[in-house]
Amino acid sequence: MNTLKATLGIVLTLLAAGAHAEAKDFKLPPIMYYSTLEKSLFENLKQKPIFSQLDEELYGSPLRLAVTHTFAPTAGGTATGLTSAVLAGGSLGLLPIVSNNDLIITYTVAAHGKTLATFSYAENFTQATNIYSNQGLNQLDKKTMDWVMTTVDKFIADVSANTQVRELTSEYEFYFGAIK
Amino acid sequence: MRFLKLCFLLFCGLTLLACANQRMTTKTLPKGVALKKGVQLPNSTQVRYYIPHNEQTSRFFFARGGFWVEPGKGLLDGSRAVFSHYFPQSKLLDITANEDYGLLIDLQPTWDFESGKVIGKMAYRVLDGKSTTPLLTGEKQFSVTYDWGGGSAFYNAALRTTQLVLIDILNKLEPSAEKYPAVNKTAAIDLKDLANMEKPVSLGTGFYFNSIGQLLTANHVLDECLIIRVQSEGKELDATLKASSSLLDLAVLNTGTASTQYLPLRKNQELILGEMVSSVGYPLQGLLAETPNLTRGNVSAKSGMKGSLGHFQFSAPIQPGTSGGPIISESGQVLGVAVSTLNSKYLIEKGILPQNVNFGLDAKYVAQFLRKHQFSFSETAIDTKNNIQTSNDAALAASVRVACYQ
Repeated sequence: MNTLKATLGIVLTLLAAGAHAEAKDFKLPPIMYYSTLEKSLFENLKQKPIFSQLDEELYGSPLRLAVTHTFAPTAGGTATGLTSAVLAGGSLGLLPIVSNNDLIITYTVAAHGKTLATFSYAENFTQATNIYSNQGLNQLDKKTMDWVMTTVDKFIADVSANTQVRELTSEYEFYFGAIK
Repeated sequence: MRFLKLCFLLFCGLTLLACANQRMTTKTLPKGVALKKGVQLPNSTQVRYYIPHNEQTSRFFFARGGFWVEPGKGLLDGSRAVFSHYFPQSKLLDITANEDYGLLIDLQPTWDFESGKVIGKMAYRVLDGKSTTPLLTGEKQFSVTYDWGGGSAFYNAALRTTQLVLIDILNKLEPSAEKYPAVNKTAAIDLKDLANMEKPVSLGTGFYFNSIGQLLTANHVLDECLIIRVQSEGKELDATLKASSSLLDLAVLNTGTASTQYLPLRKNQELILGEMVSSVGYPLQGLLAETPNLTRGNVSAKSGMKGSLGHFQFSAPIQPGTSGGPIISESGQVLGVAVSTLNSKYLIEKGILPQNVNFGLDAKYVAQFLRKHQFSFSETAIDTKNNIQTSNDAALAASVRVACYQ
């Protein structure tokens, strides 16, 4: 029984290692990148072998990777935000507007404008915005960007395992040769 | 005193701004609207509702704000919230599944914008699966103040409009699981009854490439169509999608009707820089006459923009609606399929005026695609003696208007 367990363990470990190696070797074709986020995210993605051919100026490419972000209100955050906005208004802006939202980062892979796959990652953040500052409602602070960077590895694991993206890569190789 | 007034105005302004960002709930009803006495909630009828795919996915990027504005998401979330409140057994229709239903609600939403307001409009038809005549039809609308980003505005407008539609249905039809039992199958729904056949969601051009009624077009013309129709010389045929490639932006349709006029590809798909070409298409439909247009130009470059895949550049003018049309040589062979043009608006904003820069998919990849999917097609060698008028006539006769309905 113990031998059987050990054999099964070895087989499963080898399978997992094989899948990991497969994900590590997987490369995407040249792909145009655009994002609402800071350039550091592009640089981080570009360092990964799968996105070595990511390019911000590949205007003619039918393949696009778009990384966008949005804030989704939470139930508690909406009530807090309303109270905070009233207080900020009442104090003529001396008090900041404190908001609590879910930040959602969405990676979209598209071909000729048609979405092939989307991957979203969310985290809850509380932000304080002064109504007179030019901070912008959609800009992210350092702490938030640090979290955004942690989504890169999750995204790479997800995109490598995605059937549509795999099929697109195979189709690319059929028509245009192996990906370098 | 002035200072106090300023304080008060600022206070009110911020409060209103905060309220505009609030999501409405289904617990309250719009002013002057009420459920009829005796209408029980939640309702147990098995409801399927249909929203056209292009409305579900509608979104645009607001460059100055650096974010996406997503009317489609607001519409889906808002309508889902109302349906689940009034009809817990309801589901968005999935045409690929075969499910039981009692009532089918066909929603055709549109958006309007006026003085800082978003107006959600929703035409609707209620079908019971037995008759093609709707049990009830109508249109409702509701306007809300536009908020920063529009997330709540689209959601609220969709929520209230759907609420008005469902209250009308509940009041007039008084549905129940007994009155409209779930004995209908979604697979049996005639998609022509569901789609808005008065207005296609996209239009393009296609051309026959063999005698068995199969034609090529651009894939982007055919995004999630319920019904595809091809039309030429007043004759209209239904078509089905046989194969498609998002990568090449190419698709094959089948009409199931023999075609006497079809176009061959050039043998070995050789492309000669500078050679004269004709582009055939049905551009600017609704504005120009519903007859095919033919424009002349030449092969300007053997490749497209930086990063493009399998494109070549040609100068024959094309317009919206030409996508999928054939680019033919003087001897009547297909050299490529018209797929895109340079974004003139973007370049004009940058002080550049592009002229006649259009792109076609090289026939080399068209042939590979057809072989991959085992479609029969013909190839002919370059024939310099061929009459250009004959070639153009053949291209015009083999080209059709392609319309996609949702």
